[in-house]
Amino acid sequence: MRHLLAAAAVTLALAGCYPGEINSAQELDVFITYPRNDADFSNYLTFAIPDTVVQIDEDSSEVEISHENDEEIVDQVRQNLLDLGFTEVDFPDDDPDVLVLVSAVADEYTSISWYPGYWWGYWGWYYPCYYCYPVYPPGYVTVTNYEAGTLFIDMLEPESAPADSTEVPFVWTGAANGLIVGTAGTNLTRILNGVDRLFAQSPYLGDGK
Amino acid sequence: MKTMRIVLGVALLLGVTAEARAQDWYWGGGYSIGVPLSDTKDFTSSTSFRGVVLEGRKMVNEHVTAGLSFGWNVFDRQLDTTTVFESGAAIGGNQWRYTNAFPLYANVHYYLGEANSLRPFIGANVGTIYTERRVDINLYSLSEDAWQFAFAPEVGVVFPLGWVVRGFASARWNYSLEGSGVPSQQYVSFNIGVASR
Repeated sequence: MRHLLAAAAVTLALAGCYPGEINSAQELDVFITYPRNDADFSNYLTFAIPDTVVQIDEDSSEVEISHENDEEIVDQVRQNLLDLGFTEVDFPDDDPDVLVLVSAVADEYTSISWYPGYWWGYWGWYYPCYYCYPVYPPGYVTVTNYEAGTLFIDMLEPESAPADSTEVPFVWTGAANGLIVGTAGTNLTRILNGVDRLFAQSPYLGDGK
Repeated sequence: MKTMRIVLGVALLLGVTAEARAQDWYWGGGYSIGVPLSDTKDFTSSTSFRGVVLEGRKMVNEHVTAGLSFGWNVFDRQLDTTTVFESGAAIGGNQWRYTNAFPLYANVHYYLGEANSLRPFIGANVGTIYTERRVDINLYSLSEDAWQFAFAPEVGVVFPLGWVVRGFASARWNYSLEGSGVPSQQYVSFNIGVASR
């Protein structure tokens, strides 16, 4: 009776640590937004946006990013800005208050973990044990390989950049990160939803418009 | 967490192999449901249906026992939320939150009624709760843990199931003090199980 209770308790305890489960890669997506602390978004009314998503560190990345959906992604960013009250202008014919650049980075990651195993067989030397293993399991190693990517949306203020500098001050940046799994279609859907989420987290972008 | 599994294994070993005098000690275990309160509820709001309690009680006299109790309750919560910081920065996404609580108490119980009948009891548990809280977001886990001083008043009943076997059902209010940066935890555990001499 006591052994049954103990076995049931151990089984329940060892199975009950972290019961949550992940049903899709989308559940692992994370969205980060960061405004410059002195930015007054009521001063920024117009924007310009290139029609290309730039891959950062393209030469050193293990993962090549396809550009076949650049237009949809840029259009999603553009629509969110228009919905916030921004007006798009033609650059360089007109000077925008902010330049919006869309870029992405992707890479391959490898995780290695070692599980040393439990000392299951120690009862064997104390008294005859009919239900436990008389050997010491060596443990095992797991290797996990996955691809992950991040989409960046940077809002820059070109008018405040020094004339002799190649650096342009940013006023807002957003980043959407997630695993690269599934089809191109599902990944595009996640990217577009991520763009919407970044702007939803930043309602202050619409101040004064 | 591995440390707590070892402690659990040692507690079980003591519970099932101790050479205690049979007529004085009752050993048992049971199922525990935990209802979070206060900060525990704020962090992991779901009722816990993953819990276990192990008990050992020695008869001091016909109405009083003294003993030990060990338990494990797991609380969890999944939510999609956005956290905004004072700077205006924000981070959003799915979070999986977990609270693993391991109460370890010394206790005293007082029983009404007569032996071999249904006996209501009240009790006081004092000891510690090892609390581990963890948040999983994206591919990252953040965790904190602490041993916290705790106490737990308890009410319940024991009832005979046989000559030496007893069933028990109780409600215990577990309260731990803040320690090592982990906030005070509170939850009510409803326990049901069996014990024998």
